[in-house]
Amino acid sequence: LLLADGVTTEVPPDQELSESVHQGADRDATEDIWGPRTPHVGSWPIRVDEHVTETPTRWVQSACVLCSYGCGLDVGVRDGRIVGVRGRAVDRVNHGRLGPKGMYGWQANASADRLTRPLVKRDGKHVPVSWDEAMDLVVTRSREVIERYTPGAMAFYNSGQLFLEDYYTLAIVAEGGVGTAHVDGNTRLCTATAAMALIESFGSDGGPGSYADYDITDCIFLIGHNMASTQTVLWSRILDRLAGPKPPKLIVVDPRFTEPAKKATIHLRPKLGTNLALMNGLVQQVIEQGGVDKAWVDAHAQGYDELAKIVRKYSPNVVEEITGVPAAQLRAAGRLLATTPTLVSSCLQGVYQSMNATATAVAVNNLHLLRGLIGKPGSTVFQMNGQPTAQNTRECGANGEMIAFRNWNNEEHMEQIARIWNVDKDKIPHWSPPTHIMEIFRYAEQGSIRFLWVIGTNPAVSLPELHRIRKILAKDDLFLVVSDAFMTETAALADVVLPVALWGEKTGTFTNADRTVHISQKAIEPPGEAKPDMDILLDYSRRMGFTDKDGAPLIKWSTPEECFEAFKEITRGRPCDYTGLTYEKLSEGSGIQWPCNERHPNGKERLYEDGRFTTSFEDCELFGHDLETGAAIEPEEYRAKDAKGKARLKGAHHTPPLEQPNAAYPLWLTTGRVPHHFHTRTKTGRAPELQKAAPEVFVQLSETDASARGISEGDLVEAASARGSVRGPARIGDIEPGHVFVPFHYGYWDDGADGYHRAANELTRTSWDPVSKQPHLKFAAVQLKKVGS
Amino acid sequence: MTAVKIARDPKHLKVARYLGLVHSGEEQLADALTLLADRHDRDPDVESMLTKFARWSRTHMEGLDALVERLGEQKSEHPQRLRASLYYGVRMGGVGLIQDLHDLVVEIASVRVGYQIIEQAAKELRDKELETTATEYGEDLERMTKWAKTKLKQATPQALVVPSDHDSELPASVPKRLSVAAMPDPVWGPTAAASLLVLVGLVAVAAGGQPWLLPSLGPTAYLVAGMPALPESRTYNIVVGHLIGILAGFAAVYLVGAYDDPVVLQAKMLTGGRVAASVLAIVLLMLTSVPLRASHPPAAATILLITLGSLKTAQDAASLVVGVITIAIGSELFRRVRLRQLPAVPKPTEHSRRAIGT
Repeated sequence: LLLADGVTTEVPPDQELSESVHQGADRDATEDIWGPRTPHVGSWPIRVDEHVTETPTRWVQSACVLCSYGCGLDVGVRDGRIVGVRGRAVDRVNHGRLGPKGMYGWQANASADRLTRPLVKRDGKHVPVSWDEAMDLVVTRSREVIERYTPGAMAFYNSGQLFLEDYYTLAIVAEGGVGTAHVDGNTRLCTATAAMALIESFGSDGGPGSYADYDITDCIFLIGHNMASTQTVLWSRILDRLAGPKPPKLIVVDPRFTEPAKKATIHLRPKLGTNLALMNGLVQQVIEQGGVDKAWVDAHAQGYDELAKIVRKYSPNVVEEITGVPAAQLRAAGRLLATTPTLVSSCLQGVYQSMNATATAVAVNNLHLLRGLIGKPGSTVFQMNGQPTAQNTRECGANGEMIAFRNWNNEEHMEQIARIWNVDKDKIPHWSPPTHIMEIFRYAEQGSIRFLWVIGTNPAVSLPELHRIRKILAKDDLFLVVSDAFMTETAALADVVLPVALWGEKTGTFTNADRTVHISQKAIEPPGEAKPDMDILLDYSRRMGFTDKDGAPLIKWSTPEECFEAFKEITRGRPCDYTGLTYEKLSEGSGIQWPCNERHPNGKERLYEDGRFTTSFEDCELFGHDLETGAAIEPEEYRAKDAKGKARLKGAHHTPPLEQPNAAYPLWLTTGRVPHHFHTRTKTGRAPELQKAAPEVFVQLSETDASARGISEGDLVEAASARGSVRGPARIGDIEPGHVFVPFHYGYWDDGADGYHRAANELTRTSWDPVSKQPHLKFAAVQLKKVGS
Repeated sequence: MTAVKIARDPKHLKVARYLGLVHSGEEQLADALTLLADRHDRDPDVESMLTKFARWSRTHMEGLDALVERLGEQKSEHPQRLRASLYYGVRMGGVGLIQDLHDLVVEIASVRVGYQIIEQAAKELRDKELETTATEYGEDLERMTKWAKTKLKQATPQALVVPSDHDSELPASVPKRLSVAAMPDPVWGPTAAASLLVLVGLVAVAAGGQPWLLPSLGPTAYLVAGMPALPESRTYNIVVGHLIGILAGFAAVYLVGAYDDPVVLQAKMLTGGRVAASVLAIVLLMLTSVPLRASHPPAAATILLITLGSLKTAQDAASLVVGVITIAIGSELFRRVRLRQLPAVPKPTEHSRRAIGT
């Protein structure tokens, strides 16, 4: 009844909504971020949120791309324009709700400053040219670089914002066509650690749980995850639990007094960069307080003794000394974690972008394994994603892992890919790990990478130590191609800019952090000559003359649906099995989880229900790493202690943050997000409501640090690290003394001021986690001073 | 350096030699790791991990102290000699990193095998403490090796195969923090040698034009500047080496009775007596300096200065001694900075040792 059929439906009259459906209607979601309460336990009521600027004449099925939660929504269309959105009541993810970004972000599609023609830089200026001319230039330069400097001089940096079909096409172009190992996504900044933690513990990527676990769990554990800002609809799901009968206990780990922290049963505030010491302490408490399910661990996990030996050193006093968390509080949190009958944990950037990232995320997995609380209703761990389609970047091999969670270090896996693509196995680089983005930039800095194609992301604002990134992007010996819908800070430096179609202007699929696959139908035409990314890559492949072993065109598809069908084949038998899905099936319902195959025709809600993990030598995505050093475990070594379906309990010792406050830079900086913006505001900054709600960067500091420096609320202050500085109005309170917070969204495309003093990443450092290679964006040493009133 | 803590128990005598070997090995390794961290600070993964490993090594050194107290040790020059042949030349950019990591694997392996040898001896001794320590430290070194091999696997294809332009690679390879330790050899060598001679020259001139800059100091400056990691370049070797040279030279001249023979360079004539004195002196020098671990090849130049008659009086000898001491003081400083022993790395704190394992 409420379903859009994917293409066109008449607007269903509101009165047809059943009694049980709450109408969230068109609230001001910038103020009322989480909307009205629908208290519950067990099953989350429907509440349909809607925001339209005109009455749509048809609704088109889609899902939101402005956070990783992945709400199902319908796009309202009138006269070939998007005029609004409405949450899909039947969707398994959001039950009709929408957050502020979802409600207003779509307006960016109609921005007057959309790129509508390809641009080429001539004499330092971008001039519009035809697609033919632009692609000729891209192809000529690609050929030159490959011939003179080998495919190793070519690199691709993509996004967590494209569709599955774009990623898969990119993967085959880069790996099977060009033959370079230098392919990564900006997922490196958001979910690389999530993926790696899942691989280290369970053998393969893929979130084990279901969002429905939040509806029934007794305890929620949020570690470095300010869900109220990052996944606002998921947070409203929890607010509804907290308001309902049998509310869950809530444990929050965050140095700031965030919304979740304010609602927490226990709020732990470790010093920056000490997450792992805290987690080791909690795991030790669970062991000490008898929380270990010994029978389950014996049957389903490997490595207990080694782990126990490591965490034994983390007594509450030692943990207090390192983290500042009082011993009594640690014991209390440990007691809760050791005794709760069900538990849902979730990590995000506070873990992933900080010190000891992978080891900390794995420690959270360990907690669940020790308690046997995984694969059961109400019990799971979410290694959360940052972006809506990041899961697909990972599944498609566009982020530095191999396609369909295959292992680059497993010859058999590589042969499977080569067979399906019909290319020589050695065409696809697999003798070293795929190159992560920080290393790609290092190679470009050293001059060995000469061609970089950036697709749908904005490294000039989102990577650390921006003065360095700008310098590299502007190098004469680097040919920079940028595909984007807007003239971003990165596009401004490009030799060639290609205008792309956004969400709503092309058809495709994508998958969220609980493995729910959505289809997003094309609702309107892209503006001007803008094209879907997949079409651009297909055109590139054709012009480059990429062929398979038999001389036939390398890529056999030309539409998104054909691409999806091809992708299904390559996932057959892998954990992310898509073979049971079709565009038609995805259009019938609203969100289907993988694996979806003959055995699970409607998808599978929870992985690892039988306690069997993807860890055998033959199946696993990687053989894993030493969590402290990042040293890879080699095939022979893994074979000797093959976990054969048992989960891997792995521990590591705490390493202190690589940079700490000192005399010159006495304060801790941490960076993060606000509820109204996504990434570098490319879209949300162009949605009037969102931009108005959070128009400017700010510097958050404690009352103590403010009064010591004579700073009052709203004063213009400057935070400076050894690498750069940021200026913004002071926002005082809700943060531990000694800490400063700056949101990272703000760049320069709409900055009126001179110089580079707006992006938080001016301050951050060039370093990364040894296992997941995720950059350290969550800690740096800074000084603070008042520069104006 | 030549420290010997005599083992009280005869069955510990040879184990003590190996304890000394790994102890010296860890010392060399910790310095090398710190040096490489400085050198490759534009690769932050390398810098941070090598810094961590240096901390592991220093923690091992402290752990070994307790064993040495109980079992004794005899330190070895071997690790220093091995170290001296590694990390040499221009180690910059992608290839420089590959070469340095390759050398690092070699240096770690030497200490690693040392621990395996001790582990076997510990089993025979039924000495659990020794065995556990050797096993644990050996495993740490194994983890370092695996890290280095992982990094090599990742970095090699790009560094060895994909060309880059010099003017792009060079500025991207110069360390962020310019330090003496990170200077390439072709820059450091001549600079250091020149500075050492300038030092002696300035001191001598300032002291009223004293004849303290003598031919023996040339080879010493060359050795210290060019091969600072060799045991031969240590201050002890410089000073003791040259002193033995002086004693051996005069002793030989007197023993052969060639004191009054013409001075070779003045008379343009070489007598049999002076040849005999030279031969005898070099034999005396090597017979004494090697067992004293004071080997310093430039001391052979000192000998010939004396046996060929250029240096005759006690006053001449005193001038040489002053020159040697001056250059030795300069060398000590230069060597330590170059080998990345200075500025000193802070010791692992009680806090980090206890709570953080390593």
